[in-house]
Amino acid sequence: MGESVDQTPPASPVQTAQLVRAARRGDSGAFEQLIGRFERTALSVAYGVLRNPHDAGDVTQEAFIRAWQKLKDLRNPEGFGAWLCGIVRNLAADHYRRRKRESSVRAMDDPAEHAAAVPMLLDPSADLQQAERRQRIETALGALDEISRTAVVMRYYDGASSKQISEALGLSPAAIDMRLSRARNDLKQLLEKDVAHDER
Amino acid sequence: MNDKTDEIDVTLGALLGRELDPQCGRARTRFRAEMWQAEQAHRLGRRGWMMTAAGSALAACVGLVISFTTMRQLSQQPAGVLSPASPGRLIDPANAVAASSGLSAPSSLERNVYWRTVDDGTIQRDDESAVHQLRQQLFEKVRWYDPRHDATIELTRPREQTIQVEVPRQ
Repeated sequence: MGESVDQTPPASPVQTAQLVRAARRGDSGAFEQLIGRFERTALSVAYGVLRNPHDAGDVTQEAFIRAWQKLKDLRNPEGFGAWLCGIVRNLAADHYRRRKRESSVRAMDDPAEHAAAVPMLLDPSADLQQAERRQRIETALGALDEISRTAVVMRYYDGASSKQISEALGLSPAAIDMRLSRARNDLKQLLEKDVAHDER
Repeated sequence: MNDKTDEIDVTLGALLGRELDPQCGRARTRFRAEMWQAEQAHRLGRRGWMMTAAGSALAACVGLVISFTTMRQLSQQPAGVLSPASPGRLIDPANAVAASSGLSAPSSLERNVYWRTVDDGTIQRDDESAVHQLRQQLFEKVRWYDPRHDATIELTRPREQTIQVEVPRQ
């Protein structure tokens, strides 16, 4: 798992339901607790779709605001996590489409802008190690399909169980296990190749 | 699971942590900011409503006083109109018509006073103090029939007074 970050321990469905009911009554403190418990889950889902940490952070923020506004629409308070993941996936898909459209428009409008960006990437003062690491993970994860990638990020970043992932993604736990197993093998091959390449 | 797979698991977790951990906490900060903004908007709305209510009450009082005064004046004084030659001075329309035509007083005379209050809301003065501003607009209209010229003459005199109520500083 990643570096330790101050986070609230995972909530049981009953605790989640209690917090949701309190938040519905306008208790913003209860909703903040829900944010603490589900932020990593939301980030994982957003990152699975967008493959960009900053964009994932933006979408996660927006998703929680949307969830606060629409909390009265949630029929089953115990299913807050899965419901939130649905909001995150929708927002992330919108964000992805918008980003794609904007980048294609920019490319058509101003090719010089993109040419100017190349020297920045080649800046020797840049943290090459970090860039390589990011590149490696992006390539490895990018090779997976969206569902598998989201499942992998939820498992490895959020520590989510197959049941939690299955609820968030609308698949059976067995299907999630199968996808995770296949994705792990693919990632292993890809990352091992990179490690071997680095060692040479 | 063999050792190599475990190593990949750990590496992947660490890499994802480095990518996504810096994003943790942004949602809570944004939510708090949204709550604060909503609270401020609610407070301003409530204060605005109270100011509007106070302003309306004040305007109603001013309106009552003016209409009462006007009614008293109408009942005590003869009707007068503004002389076009000397604006601001009231003359008796009957005398005016009689003097200009040499005929008897006009047969029909009508005098109306209309008023309304415009609430400008809270405005900033030059000394940066805030005041709630109301403008009392008054229209005095006098109309009579001139038999000599077989014409209806109408004179209107607009007036405006501004009332400023100081808004206490927070």
